[in-house]
This record gives sequence, structure tokens and C-alpha cells, in this order.
Amino acid sequence: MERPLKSYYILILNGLLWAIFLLQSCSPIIHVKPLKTKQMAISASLGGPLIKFSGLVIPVPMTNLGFAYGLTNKTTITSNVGTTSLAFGVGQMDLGFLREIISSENKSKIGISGFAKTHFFLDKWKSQFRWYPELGINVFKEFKEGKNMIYAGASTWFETKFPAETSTSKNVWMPMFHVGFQKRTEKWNFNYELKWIAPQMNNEKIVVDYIGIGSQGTLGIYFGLSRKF
Amino acid sequence: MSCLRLDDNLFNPDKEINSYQLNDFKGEREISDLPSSYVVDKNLTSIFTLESNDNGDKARIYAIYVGDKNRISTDTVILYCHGNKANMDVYWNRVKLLANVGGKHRYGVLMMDYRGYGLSEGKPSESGLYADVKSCLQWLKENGMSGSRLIMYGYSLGCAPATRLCAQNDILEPSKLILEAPFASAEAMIQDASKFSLPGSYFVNLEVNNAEQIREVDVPFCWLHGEEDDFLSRKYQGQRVYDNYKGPWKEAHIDPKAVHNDIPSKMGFQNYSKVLLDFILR
Repeated sequence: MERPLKSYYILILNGLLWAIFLLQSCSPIIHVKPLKTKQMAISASLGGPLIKFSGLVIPVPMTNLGFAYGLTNKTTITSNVGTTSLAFGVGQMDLGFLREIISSENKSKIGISGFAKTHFFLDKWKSQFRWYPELGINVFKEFKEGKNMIYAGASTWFETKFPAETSTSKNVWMPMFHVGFQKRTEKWNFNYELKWIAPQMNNEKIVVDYIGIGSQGTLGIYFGLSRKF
Repeated sequence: MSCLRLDDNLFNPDKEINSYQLNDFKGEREISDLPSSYVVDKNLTSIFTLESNDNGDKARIYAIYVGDKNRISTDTVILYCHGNKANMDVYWNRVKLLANVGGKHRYGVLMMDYRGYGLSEGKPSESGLYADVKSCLQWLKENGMSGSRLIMYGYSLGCAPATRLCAQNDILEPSKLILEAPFASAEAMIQDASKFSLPGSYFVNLEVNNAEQIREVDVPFCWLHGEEDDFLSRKYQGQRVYDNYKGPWKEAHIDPKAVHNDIPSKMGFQNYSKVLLDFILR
């Protein structure tokens, strides 16, 4: 059976798609509301951008492990390691904090939090180092005495490699929007999240076949869980 | 423990064939709208094998020559390096088109399947690409070819060996270089897609860099690209190659409606042929 020409492109597209968002969009928010003082949590997440594979649309199965510690009731420090990146010979970690801006301890049960991170990368092949700051904000609403939570927000990475090595790195920022649901128990949190990554980016005329909204950006879905101590 | 790498994604060969079908090929092919008038003489079409040696990794590769092999010592020949898809059947119409530039069989055309493509042995690799095209240059040389009558033509993936072997070549130095829809580098493809400064080494070990290699090319250069190229953008890929060329002559032909693989069709076959003929004769 002859393979249509388009499928040859898709082969290379899938591989590159895998790669492109490996580093940029590999985890859900996980921590939307700060931990309590001196509370710790470890987390794991799975999910990624949506790709077409054998005619089906599936999320790229990226994995992350994370750790968080409540400095105060309003501030939590966070760190994550990209385990899928390691499989590519790329060490990836981020370090940052989550800060409560408006407490949800009010009648509406709506709160706002913000976060700042720095992502670090180093590969074993050419020792190429990159770092990218990220800023983000979450608006969340709790239900059922805090056992359920819906949240939405936005974040952006910032380019740090200037002058541009390529024309494409003239992009100063890489925004993302997210909406999610968090199921909370005393010990566990479970996150289900949808992201719209790089909505400002036209996904045509490039080597990857993004599944975005219209011709803009790409969508990703994620699942995360954390265990609190 | 070995790591995941995406190098193999550069290659999309199809080895599921028992023979080359050429005119009888029923699959989807490049420039499928080529008029039937662009025929070539069957008696002037030869399929043969060459031994390619990539630093000791030997492979028997298949090649097609369209033209009189007995006149290679006097003819001008276009060495066509095809793209990353399938095998030579897909590109057969392109060879027929080139064999009709300036009139039927005015120029000889040589095309090969890189190792791992079609009936060619082995597994595709970046170094294998260069070795395979070098084996074609060696064959041409042994048949009396001189560099002054050799035109190197690279299309998409084929731009890598075409550019490399115009820049660094101890067998035959082509007299002119034609690149159709070139990519700047493996890293540029990644950065083009990510829109961020991610190093290529995060994903691939490929060293291919046409945008840098072109700096070493000192023969006339013709660049063809589609403004609507939806695979390798004109602006972020081909333009960088063109801008970095510092040789004696360069010309660009950007078709406003062409995508990645239909430049001859969108330009019009006569216009495309005239562009090539004018460049070859200049």
C-alpha cells in the first residue's frame, strides 16, 4: 500500500512536536493554593501537548516529579525535575515560589495566587545551558469546604538568549493559559488541567503540526497528583 | 544507558518496494501534474548500483541516470539530491522535468536513493548522506565528468549534501549550486517550531547546518522557495541560507503561492525550466 506524501511529513512532525514542548510545557500548575506553614508535598504529573498519532489525538506522555514546602501560610517554594527530559540527556529543573495574593477565606471562596519560577536546562551533549524565567497567576474558587477547586490563569516564559541566534528567538515571551480542576483530600491533591500554549503563535508555516485553536498555538492536557505531609 | 534522540526523524524512507516503478509508480508523487510531454527516452534511462563508503560503513545504493552514459565526458549533468521522503519513485517526475530543461535530454540527470531509501542498503544517517552523494560524484568522475560541467541540485533534505559537497569536496567541485526549499539547520528547525532559543543538542546530534556551510560555497548559487512553504518557512529557513552566501553570484526565485513541494508546478513548468536554464547558461 502506498503511503500518501502527507504522512511522511507527519512522521517528522510528530517527532519534533514531541521535542518542542518537552521543555516548555511539560507540567500542570499542581500548586494553585499555598501549602500550610512547614507543610511539604511531593508531586508527579503526566501529560503534554496534543498530537495526532495513528489518526488519534493523544497527549504526549511527559512526566515530572516535584517538591514543595510551605514557608508560610502564604508562600510556598516549589521545585520540579523533568524526568522525560532526562531521557533525552537534558537535565531540567525549575525553582520558584507560589504566593497567595488574595485569600480564598472569604464568602465567595475565590482566591488569587501568583508564582515565579526559573527553569534551568543543561544537556550532556554540548553542555548547552539555558534558563528561562516564568511568571504566572491563578484565580481559583473552592467548593465543598475546599475539597474541590476550579482554577484558571495565565503564565509566560521569557526569552533570555539575546541577541537572537535565530530569527525565531526574537520572541520575548511564551504565554500560556490554563484552566483546571483540583480534587483535594487531607493528604492528596489531584489536578486535571487544560493548557493553551503560545496562543500568539501562528502554527502554520512551521515544521510542526500543532493542534491549537484555529491556527494559533497548541493545546495540552495534563494530570497531576501530589501527596502532602 | 542510551538517550532518546530525534535524529532519525530527519529521514522518512520507504523501503517497502521490490523494484523501482518510475513511470508506472501508482503512489502519490512529487509534481504529479507534470504533462505527459515531459517524457524521457527509456533507452537513456539507467538504474544501477554504487558502493558508498561512510567511514567503513559500506552500503550498496541505487541510482538513476537519465542521459547517454557514453557522453558524460562531454555533457553537462545535473546531480539531483532528493528530499526526505520515500524513494526515487516519488521524485521521478522531477528528474523527467530536469531532463527536459532546455530541450529533451539537453542535460544528463543523476539521482540516487540515499542509504536506507528504496532499494538502497543500510540505514539513513547524516554522514551517510554525504557519503552516498560522494559515491555519485566518484561515479561521474570515473565516467569522464569534470566539475565545470556539473550542476548540483538539492531539494529540501537534499540541500544538505548538495551544499556540503559544493563547499567541501575532494572529488569534483560542481560549477553551480541550486537549492530548492532548503532548511537552515536542524537547530533552526527546532527553534523555528519552538519560537524559543532551544539548542538543537537538546534533541538531536545532527550537525547539518546549511546556513553556515553556504558561506564556504564559492560557485554561483540559485535559490528557489515557496512563500507559502508550510514545512520549511521561506523567511526563517531558506532566507538565512541565501543571506549567508558570499560567493560570486546568487539569485532568488520566490514563488508567492508555492508551498514546500510544488514550486515547479506553481511557477509553471516552462517558467521553472527557463529559470534553471538561464542560471545554468549564465
